[in-house]
Amino acid sequence: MSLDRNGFLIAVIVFLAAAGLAVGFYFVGTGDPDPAPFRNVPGDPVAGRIALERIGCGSCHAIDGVRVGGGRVGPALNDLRQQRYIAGRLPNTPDNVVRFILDPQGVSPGSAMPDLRVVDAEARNMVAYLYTLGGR
Amino acid sequence: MPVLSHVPNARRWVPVTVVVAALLAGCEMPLALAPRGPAAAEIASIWWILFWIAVPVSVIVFSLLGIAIVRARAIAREQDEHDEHDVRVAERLRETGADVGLPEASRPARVSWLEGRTTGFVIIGGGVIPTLILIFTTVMTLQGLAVFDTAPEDVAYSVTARGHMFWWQFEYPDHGVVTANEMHVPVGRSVRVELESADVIHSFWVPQLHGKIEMIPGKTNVIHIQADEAGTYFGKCAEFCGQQHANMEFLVIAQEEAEFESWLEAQAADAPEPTDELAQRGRDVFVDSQCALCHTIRGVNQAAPGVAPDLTHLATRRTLAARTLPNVRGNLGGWILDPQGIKPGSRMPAVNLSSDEFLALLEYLDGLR
Amino acid sequence: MAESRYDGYGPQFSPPPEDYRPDPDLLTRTWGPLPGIRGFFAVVNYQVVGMRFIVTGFIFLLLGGIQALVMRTQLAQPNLDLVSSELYQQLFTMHGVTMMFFFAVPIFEGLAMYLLPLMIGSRDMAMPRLGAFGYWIYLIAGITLYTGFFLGLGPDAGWFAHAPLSSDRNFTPAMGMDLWVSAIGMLEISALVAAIEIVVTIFKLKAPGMSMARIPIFVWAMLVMAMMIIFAMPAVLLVTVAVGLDRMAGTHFFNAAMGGDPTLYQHVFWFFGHPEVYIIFTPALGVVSAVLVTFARRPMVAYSIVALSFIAMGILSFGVWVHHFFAVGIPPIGLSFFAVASMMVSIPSGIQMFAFIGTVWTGRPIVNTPFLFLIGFVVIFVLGGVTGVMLAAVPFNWQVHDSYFVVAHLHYVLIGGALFPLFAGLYYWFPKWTGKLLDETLGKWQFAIMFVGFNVTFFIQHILGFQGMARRVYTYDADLGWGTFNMVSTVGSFVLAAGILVFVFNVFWSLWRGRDAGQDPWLAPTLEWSVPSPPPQYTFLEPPVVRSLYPLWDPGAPDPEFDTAADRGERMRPQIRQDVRETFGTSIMDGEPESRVNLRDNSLWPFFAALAVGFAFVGSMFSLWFFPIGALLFYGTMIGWHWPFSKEIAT
Repeated sequence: MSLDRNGFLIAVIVFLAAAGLAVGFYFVGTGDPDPAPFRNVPGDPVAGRIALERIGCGSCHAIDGVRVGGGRVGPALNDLRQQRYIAGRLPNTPDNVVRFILDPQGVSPGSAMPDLRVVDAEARNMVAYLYTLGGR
Repeated sequence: MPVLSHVPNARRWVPVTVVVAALLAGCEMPLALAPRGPAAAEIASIWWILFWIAVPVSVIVFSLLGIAIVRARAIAREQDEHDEHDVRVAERLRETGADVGLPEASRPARVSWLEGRTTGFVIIGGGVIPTLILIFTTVMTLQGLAVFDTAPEDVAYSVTARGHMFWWQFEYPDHGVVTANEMHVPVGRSVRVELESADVIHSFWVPQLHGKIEMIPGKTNVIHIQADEAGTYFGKCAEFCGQQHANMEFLVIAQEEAEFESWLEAQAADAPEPTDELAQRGRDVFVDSQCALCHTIRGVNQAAPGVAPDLTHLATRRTLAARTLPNVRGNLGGWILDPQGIKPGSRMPAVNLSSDEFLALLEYLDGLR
Repeated sequence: MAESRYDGYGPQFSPPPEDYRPDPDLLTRTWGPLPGIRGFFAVVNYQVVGMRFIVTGFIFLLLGGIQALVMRTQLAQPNLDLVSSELYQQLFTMHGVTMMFFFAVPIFEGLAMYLLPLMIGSRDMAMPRLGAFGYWIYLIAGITLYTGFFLGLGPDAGWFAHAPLSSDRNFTPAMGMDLWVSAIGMLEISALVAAIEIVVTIFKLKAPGMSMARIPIFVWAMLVMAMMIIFAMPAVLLVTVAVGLDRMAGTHFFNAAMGGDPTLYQHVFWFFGHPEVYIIFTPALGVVSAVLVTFARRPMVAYSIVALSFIAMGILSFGVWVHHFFAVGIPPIGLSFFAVASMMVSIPSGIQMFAFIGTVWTGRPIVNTPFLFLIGFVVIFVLGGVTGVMLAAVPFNWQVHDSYFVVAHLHYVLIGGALFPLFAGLYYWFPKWTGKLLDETLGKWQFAIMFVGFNVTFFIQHILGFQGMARRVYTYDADLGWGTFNMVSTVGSFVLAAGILVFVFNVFWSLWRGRDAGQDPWLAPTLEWSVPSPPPQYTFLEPPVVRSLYPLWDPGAPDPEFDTAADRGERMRPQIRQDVRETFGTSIMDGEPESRVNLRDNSLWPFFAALAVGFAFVGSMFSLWFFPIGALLFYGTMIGWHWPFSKEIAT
């Protein structure tokens, strides 16, 4: 007849704990990636993420961890690693991506991608970060 | 209406880390309690007095309640058993599952000292003492008001701040300077700020310098602010003004007076002539496209006043779109091409440009120093 | 009947029938509902209508709570995109509108409707059909508002909808604000008619012998609340109509460019808006007083001072509206006046707090669930009160106005001052309404979870306000350093919500398996506990008479020296007819029996009248022509409503 109070209270506590954990995990967010270089890409992905943010890539491209704006101008870069071609012209290798970042108009004349005056080391770091995304 | 959309979540790394630095410098004090100007300092001092009144008042009230419960329950336990009413109630309430201190064996009845003095207790504790405290806080408030009502004597500069949906225009009428989303002031000098609105009600708030005063259409409110330290201060629209209220922020940049004067001089000049060919083409794109209908670049065109930010010295500003984005080349490009993706509901429409036109325009705007 | 006079106390009293005896069957037939689906819409009984207000109000509490949780989740971390900026502004507007207009005011009106007749010894409210009409309008308003919201057309200018953002279609082009005008307009009518009914009931239907000095403190609170509604609601009705006209008819009340004045809106709205806070808070104090007296097992100390403090609070609260917009640029003399008034309004609250403490001190308190909620109320409300005094200090107000400090303050005042007392009252009266006790263990857990969750959620928001976080922002930057505190606040809000869920579970569990309450489980002092639980539809088998402030603790005896109002009521009791809906009408101050009051019985017309009003208001979103047509329809229903063909008058 009477409620199994202890059972219910345990249920409540479990529910609360689960809800708290769920909310917590949901917002843990994208931490910095595994700093180990991926697939022979020379560069530091942690510094790369910071560079991507500082240069403002996110206002045109959707990039996990670098979400700045709409990401509706350029292609999303979250699965760059799986892409066969980049810029519609070059096979997807880290070096080619670096080339494209350094001189977009030279690689792909007529593209709206501007020359953002990135230096070589920075570009390598950025590519290293981009290659850590996707396929995880 | 999209339920989920991409949100302008730029700016997590705005290079203007001074805000954070200021936070740390203020001994972890939140902005409003780390004042950097006389007005905010006056307010902070009022707060600390109120706070040190509030703490003991709360503690005393909570203690009285706690003592009342503990004492009265102790008396109930010792209650003379022939207080039949209490026994009856207690027994009945125990049946409902309540935790009741049942009266025990016969003992002399104990009466609370408050019995028979309750009216005095209520009137003195709840009426007289609060009245005395409130007289004190009222006098303090009126004194504070008097401070704010007195205009400083040596007002060095005058700025007209105008709120728009969802950006700020700052005009220095004596110097012919119009800029946006960034107000420069000289350190240690009192600046008169006239607050106006172009559309709905906004509210001008720089927590470290001054409390908020609203910007109301058809009305001009005047405040005086003064920054005692050089630095960059966070400002925010505080009155809900529409969809992008959250992204209507600005910076107050306090500089040494000489530096400030040279800033004024530079800002008063016309826009620099583009030197390279690409930028020159960009200027033509600007003039021939929709951009020039709303944005003015002094020396190049004159758009309808007050519709959109003046871009004459755009590249000298720290942020774009009312502190939505750090003002760097990549963000400037993204903002030109997709303002509604970055700041949904902002008044800037997307402009259709070919990639050539876009690259030229970006080159030009990025060079407007 | 007209020819006779009885004891010289009014022409309506005839000699008692020889064969008088209370007849429950006859009374049930007289006061019962009509059969079938028609009965559902036609019922006017105060218990049914009151309970409908309470249940509907609680559903709105849950809806508003869900909106709050979505918002808190969106704010848990910087730059989240769980909801769009567009949806977010609808969410906070809906949250405010729901909690202020659709939850707090109606649920306390429902409490008043259900409990007043029981407490003052009447068989129904004074105008049963008006009560039913009020409920139907309230329901239509709520359904209208939420239909719009689920269609993506929720109002989007904040619950207080400052002009010109709300009043100019250039700034809020969506239909949301038209919806706000219509829904709020209907709700105001509902609140007004309920308030009028409450006032008339308290003034005229008290049991014989129940003078104004013998009405329970709860009734005083409800009287003050209803009076405040009557004076405050017309202001907001006025201002919503002006907004509607600006939007739909092209007037320029608030358009500065055309000579209007945006600050006018704030003056008129907050002339309602501040009393609104007390409209919510005063009945909660009434609940506190009722519950406190029972569980402190002692009469309220300083009864008359507390009653006076309610009245003082009600009056003072009309003089402080400007403190909601100190920042619009008001001359110093005006600021000074309203600062002083705002400080003063806290003195009555001080008196109430000390009266509560004094009652506990001299009492024999029983610390059970309702009492725990009272403790929670005092703690939270005092904290909200001290920040309220701080906000009256104008320069400080400028710093924290429209920031999360104010968000924290108003939740301390409203959740502490209204929601906690409400739960105390729900635990206290649930047995009376249903005949079942709510589970005590669950109740204590609910209190603990809610108390912790509430303080975790809102205390930290004071600091967020100091950090520069303005209210109504849908996201914020990581570099502002608000992320951690917002996360804490969000986690707290889920804990708070879990407490409410425990209550919902407790209600269903207790209805199913709860302990039987019996007539008077708490041995409480007031008249509602003198009838079975749940009360019969006719409420009292015989109309009660009252000889003291706490009639069930101290019934009193007839006075051989003076022929008191109660004695006369006792003698006249047999004349209250049982075959039609009748109850005693008494004088306002002394409870002198004056008349037999005919109360109208079940009718579909209040429902039809509400439909006509709904037609006018909902239609006016599309074309103003709906308004005159709706008005004509409404006058039509009034004819049916007042048509005197029932047997009440025929006798």
